[in-house]
Amino acid sequence: MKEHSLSEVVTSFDGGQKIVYIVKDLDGQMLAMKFFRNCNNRDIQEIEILKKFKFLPGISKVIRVEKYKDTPLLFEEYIDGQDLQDIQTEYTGDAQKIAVLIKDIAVILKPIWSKRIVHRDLKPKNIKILKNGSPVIMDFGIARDLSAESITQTGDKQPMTWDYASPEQYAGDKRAISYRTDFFALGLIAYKLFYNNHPFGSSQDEIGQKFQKKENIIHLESNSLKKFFEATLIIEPSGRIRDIDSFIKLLER
Amino acid sequence: MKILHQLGHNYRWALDSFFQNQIGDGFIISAFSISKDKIGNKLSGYEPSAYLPLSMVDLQFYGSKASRGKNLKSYEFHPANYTGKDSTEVSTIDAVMSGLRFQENLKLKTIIVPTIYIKPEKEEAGTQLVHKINDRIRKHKASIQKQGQEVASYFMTVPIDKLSIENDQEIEHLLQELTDMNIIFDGYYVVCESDLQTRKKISVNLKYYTNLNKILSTLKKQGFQVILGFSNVDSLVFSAMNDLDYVSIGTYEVLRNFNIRRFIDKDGGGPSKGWYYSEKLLNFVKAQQLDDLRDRNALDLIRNDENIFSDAILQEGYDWSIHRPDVHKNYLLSVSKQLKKITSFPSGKDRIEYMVKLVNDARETYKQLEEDKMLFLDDESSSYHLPKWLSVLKAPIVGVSSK
Repeated sequence: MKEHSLSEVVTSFDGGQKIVYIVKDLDGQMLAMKFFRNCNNRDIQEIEILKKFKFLPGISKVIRVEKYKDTPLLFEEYIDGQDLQDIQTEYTGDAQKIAVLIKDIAVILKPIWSKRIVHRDLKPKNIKILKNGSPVIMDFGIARDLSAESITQTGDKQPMTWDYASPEQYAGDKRAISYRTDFFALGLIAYKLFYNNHPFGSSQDEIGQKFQKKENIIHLESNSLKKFFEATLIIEPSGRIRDIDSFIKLLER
Repeated sequence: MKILHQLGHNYRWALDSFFQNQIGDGFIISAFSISKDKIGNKLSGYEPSAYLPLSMVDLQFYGSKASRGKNLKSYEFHPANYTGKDSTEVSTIDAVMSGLRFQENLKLKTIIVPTIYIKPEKEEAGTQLVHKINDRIRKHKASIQKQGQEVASYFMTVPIDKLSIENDQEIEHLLQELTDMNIIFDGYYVVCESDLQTRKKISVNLKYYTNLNKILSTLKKQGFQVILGFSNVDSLVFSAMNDLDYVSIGTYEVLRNFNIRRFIDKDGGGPSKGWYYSEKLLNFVKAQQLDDLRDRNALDLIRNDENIFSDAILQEGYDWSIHRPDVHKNYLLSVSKQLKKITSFPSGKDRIEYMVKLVNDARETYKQLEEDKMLFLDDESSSYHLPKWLSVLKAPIVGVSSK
């Protein structure tokens, strides 16, 4: 503890690849400390991305990176908020509230997308809502820097959360992953918040089949989010809205 | 929608048809057929001030070695001048930039960004090249703007071969690159091969129609202007189903059927009597079969309306040859009138309905020929393509909209 200038471990969560400890430093400041088990390139990439964008509002900021033995310890600011997952019902049927939320998220991600980095795991569990209603985006654990690696097509299954994954993630089409993968996920989040169900089915198999058959949504209710859904929930990425400002504009009233 | 003459072999006929018969709205000058020194000077007697403001130049970088004729080599920056190993990415981008400067110096309002053809298996290289060219053009446009000059519209060339157009995933990946947020091209110049069957002049490959429709509609939906180059009579279908900005019309078949491996200056296969394009059949009827139609008093069933060239070439005793201008001008006039009519409907639904009617009317005309006149047109003159066109026209374009 002292070696890392900590006074207390408040709580911890086991996230599989990493353990997150909520700790207090010697000044009593709360921090999130991430301990990476079997640290791999993906973890290094997450750290690099967070370091690169630590000055951006709306993402958990890196305070410092240390090592425990040979394993990196990532210290981030502690976000005192609620997981969007736990308060989803507060948004049900409220198009205006959802539009504001998704727009705020897009504004946060704009500089990241512009640098050709994709979050790839946007979902309510990875979005914290502060007391003032502002979102903070968490967990860049499977983010991908498209400019930093060779773009190769592969059939390998990529990491994904099935009920928020895009068709290209289902298909394992690595080449098709782009900022428009996040556009689709935000479309899904908005849709699920509004309707409380998934637009393409209720099981992974059903959704996967619809994606494979390229069955776009045919019927959409007329509401203020309709155009946004039409621009984002398109199975093939080339059909989705192509630039960030237009994406954001769709959410403005 | 504007109609552009794809200028190639005997380009004088196309120029004449424009200046004398008001066919079309402008020109795409093919570098393979017209050498560098001719562009900007009198062309078939027409002053540059008459044709250049209405022209674009297709520098045809995409051709393979087999296509490297002497006209291409007259453009000193053209990759046709590369020998052996000196064709690198750097030299390609330099050649592209020289190609742009050449067109800008001609003060063309619409500039076709030339690009080499990269095989699909090297798609990563293709992507990188497109983005590098895009970045260079971004800087280039900014620099022109800074100088207070008028900035032309830049259309990137998209050459697609007949194998790629059948590969759904390849087309989707291509579209993702072309519609990426960083792309600053004003539009795309799409040239696509079709896999024609023996004794057929129009594709009956459903994938060709489906995927080319997807390309055109996606590019339009994403805010780009689109030129469909080297287009055949199937441009009627594509124009009905998409809000195209430009389509080309061409005299010889080689100007209507794009071939990625080689360009040829004129149709091969020995002397040909040519074909009569019938707007009633939406097809080309082999000249030799016109005598049969005349014998059975069936010419009026297929005769084009208000077309002086048709009137001339359908006269008895006309000496048919593929190298006579009226044969081609008949096609140019008829198909351009049809294209204009189709695109005069503001709504896509009405355009498609009208095109479906044209196809159904054509099928009915074929039926009349068979049932009333006992005439069964065969090979390329038959109605082989019409059921396929209906299958295309009646289905929604895939992958584009959630509506």
